[in-house]
Amino acid sequence: MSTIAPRARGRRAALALVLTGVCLGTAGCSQAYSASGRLAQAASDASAQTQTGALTLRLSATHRLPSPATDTALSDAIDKLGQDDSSLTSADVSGGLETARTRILSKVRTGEDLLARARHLTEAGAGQATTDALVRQLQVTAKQLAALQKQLQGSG
Amino acid sequence: MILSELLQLPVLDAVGTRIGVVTDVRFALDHDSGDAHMLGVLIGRRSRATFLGYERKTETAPALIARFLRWRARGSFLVLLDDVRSIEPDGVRLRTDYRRYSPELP
Amino acid sequence: MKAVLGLALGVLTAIGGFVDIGDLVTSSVVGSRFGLTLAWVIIIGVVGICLFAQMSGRVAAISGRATFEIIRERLGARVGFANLVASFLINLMTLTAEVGGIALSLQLATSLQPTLWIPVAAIAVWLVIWRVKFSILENVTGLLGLALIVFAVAVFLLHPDWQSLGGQLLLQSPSQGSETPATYWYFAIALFGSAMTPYEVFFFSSGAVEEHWTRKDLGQSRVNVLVGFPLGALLSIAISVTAAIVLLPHQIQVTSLSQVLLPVAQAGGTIAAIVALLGFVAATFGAALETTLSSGYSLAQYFGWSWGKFRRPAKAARFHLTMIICLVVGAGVLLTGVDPVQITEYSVVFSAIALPLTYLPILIVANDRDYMGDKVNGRVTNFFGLVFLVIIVIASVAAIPLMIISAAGS
Repeated sequence: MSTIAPRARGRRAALALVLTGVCLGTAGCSQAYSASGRLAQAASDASAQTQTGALTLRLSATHRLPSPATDTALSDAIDKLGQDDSSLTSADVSGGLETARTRILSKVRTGEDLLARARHLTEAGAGQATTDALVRQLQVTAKQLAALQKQLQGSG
Repeated sequence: MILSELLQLPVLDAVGTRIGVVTDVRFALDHDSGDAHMLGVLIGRRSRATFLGYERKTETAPALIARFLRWRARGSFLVLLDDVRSIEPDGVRLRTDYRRYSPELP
Repeated sequence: MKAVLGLALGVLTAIGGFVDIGDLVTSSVVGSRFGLTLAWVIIIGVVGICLFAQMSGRVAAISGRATFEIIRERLGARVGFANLVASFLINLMTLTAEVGGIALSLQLATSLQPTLWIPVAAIAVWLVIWRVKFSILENVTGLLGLALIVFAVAVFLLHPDWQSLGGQLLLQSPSQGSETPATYWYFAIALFGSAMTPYEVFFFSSGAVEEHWTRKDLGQSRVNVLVGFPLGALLSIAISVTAAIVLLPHQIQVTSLSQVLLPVAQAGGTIAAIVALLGFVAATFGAALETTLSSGYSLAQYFGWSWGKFRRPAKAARFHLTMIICLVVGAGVLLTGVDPVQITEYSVVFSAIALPLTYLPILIVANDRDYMGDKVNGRVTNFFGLVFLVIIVIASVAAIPLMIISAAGS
């Protein structure tokens, strides 16, 4: 009877080992952990933040969002873009992905500039035309970032 | 000795063969004084296989859980304190002619 | 008349108290990424929390014992302690997320940095727990939390394409979605964890003891749970729907609390946004109170200290000290600059992981005649109780592997 417990323990340990192996194996093959996956992730997040900026600016211009909330939403988006910027800058990529990284990074920086202008506009108050133009620029940048993300995912 | 030192101790029979682990301790209440005294120890095959209350025959619901916990604790038995020869830090030793009682409670 | 008022108040506070930072963030994230294809999880989750809260409330009212007293009695000191450590740490994580949620909500209302609001929020929570009566703190935050109904109103103001929303409910994934199955199931578990948070049950059962419930109060408690929680879950679904209508088409994946607010502003303008902010503050503040009390409840109940708000703080010193320490730790963690939204996202998943630890003992004791007399679970309750045990265990076991595979849903 005394031999049962250690054997069960051994079996359990083996099972845990196999499960961990399967998880790490699946994770290793998954997009989320590969270099191109990380670049795609940054592009998609930056696109979402830029779109958030456009939406926030539009709501603020039509007096639908209180100004503290506008300010917070824009500064949240700027912070998150800053995080994407630094994760892209520090990403360890090789060869073919280097061009992708440079293109995404330049769009992220465009987004950062646009959002900084948006924040300035909402504080100072600006004409309808200026705001509309900025919203459109933000949306275009967001679409370009989304397109870059699609390309990366397509290439695997 | 305190209870937590007794729990999980290996149990050996008179010739030194390991027959299980102390999984629980049973007490009885004295009707007149209200004092509790130790009746015996519950011995199971595995240290974590306890009944969690399903040693009482009347407790049968939810049936699946009751059946599962009883199955996990199968082979458990009660040994009265009189049949315990010694309790030492490294194990509980029983007398040669110890008796195995059913662990169930009415 | 008084009885009707009491009943209505109980139901209203149950609705308003249902949503916390976990529901706000997770519902919105899920709506913005998966549309309504995960709404079924909220429905399963609310059935589960109804069952769980109803059982633990009944156990508390009949036996006079709250969750951790029972866990200690029934599982013994050793298993009970492992259980306590896991539940306590996850509750502390949730507490941190809620205090962070208060700070983020106040930032949205004032545009002052959250680092300034974190100490204010923690001290306010402590003061309210120290000074305010249990029934008042529960009712006020619950009623103010009803402001979140503005999300349900927003759904109608947004004039959605009902047919496409209905299709998403039936799992036709929205065209913009590009999520992997692992991510889908990871968020299913997160959403389940946000609906069935363990602290709600510690709080609910300890509250029953605080308010000296007896057999007579069982009817009222059943109505509170069975009416209030499902209606509260509708608010959770409404938050998801607004995100699905406004944010999903722009592929805005929610990563901050400010994004949760945008759909309401689009639907109802400044007034709606202000009402929603009031709801954010009430929901997070109420939940911060509940999680802080739960930290004191769980530790005091396990170690047998005297506990409860009905006792003067000096008579339950260790109970109050535990809560102060937890608030200090939570505020300290937040001041290091970690993102409260990320803490929230992890806390709901860990809640799902720890759920079996508290669910199983309650299910067992709700069947024990020595505790419950004739008020043990009936056959129907036990059937659902076992079905949910299976769901809860599967979610708990699958959570970590899915977290690894999906890189925590990124």
